Amino acid sequence: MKVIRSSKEKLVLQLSREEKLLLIKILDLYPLVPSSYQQLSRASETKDREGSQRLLDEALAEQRDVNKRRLRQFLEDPRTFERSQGACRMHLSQGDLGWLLQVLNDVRVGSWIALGSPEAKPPMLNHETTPQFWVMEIAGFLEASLVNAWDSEGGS
Amino acid sequence: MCQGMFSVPLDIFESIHAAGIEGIAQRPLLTYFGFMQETAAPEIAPGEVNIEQSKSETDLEPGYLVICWNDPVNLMDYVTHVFRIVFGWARQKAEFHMLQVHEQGKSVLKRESLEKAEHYVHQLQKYNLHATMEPDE
Repeated sequence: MKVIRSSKEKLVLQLSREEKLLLIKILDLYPLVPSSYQQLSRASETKDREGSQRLLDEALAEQRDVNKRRLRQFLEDPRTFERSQGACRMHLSQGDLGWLLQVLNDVRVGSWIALGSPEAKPPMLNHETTPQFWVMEIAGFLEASLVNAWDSEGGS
Repeated sequence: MCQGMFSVPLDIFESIHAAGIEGIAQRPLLTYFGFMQETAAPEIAPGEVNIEQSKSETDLEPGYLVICWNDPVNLMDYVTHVFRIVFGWARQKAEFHMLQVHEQGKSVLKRESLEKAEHYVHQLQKYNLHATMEPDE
């Protein structure tokens, strides 16, 4: 993944065919994080804890629906991927970057949870865990590439 | 990582913010020592900050701490990026808190009212960071 053009509003990246395929496969897995994963607080005496937790769950579910819609529109939009000499150019707005990072990190964190949330050591790899492990790694690679592309070119 | 990067202790900005006197850093130093002159009764000259009155509502309400906890899955650059987006922080401040999470297991990012703390926790959790709000006791 290589930065072609970057401004405060727009980021254009060049992807090889393989990178584009990987990106689409990873995005297709969204969402992976279970809806009950996030907790509002660790303390039991937080004011109206249950009500606040319910509101948080609803807000996160709503956000997932919004991201799913955006993702579908993004992948269906012919302007997103532009062919360029055997590779392709991906056009992202600053707004796209925010939700795209949320989606990629959801896939990464969701795969990690499916692996049993391993702490320091990598999980035992077998025919069941190997695909999850690679999904987690590739989602992390794509995520880091996007963050670095945006930051190194003076984006937000 | 290199601690020399942070020549100014960043928590001083938090303290200023918590006190509700953010404009203090931009004002001439003498303004703040003016009240130390010998006067019969303390008076507040025009343009000086009345600290008691300028405390925001947030300082008077029970506060909640917005905390980000360490986990082995979120990438360091990603966490820095999210802090910058959610709080609008400069890279240096975002990196400072990211390293605190990484090295100390958690970082207190903000002290806010219940509603604002909920808002920030929701923003951080949208990005799947491990964030919670805890009563400030």
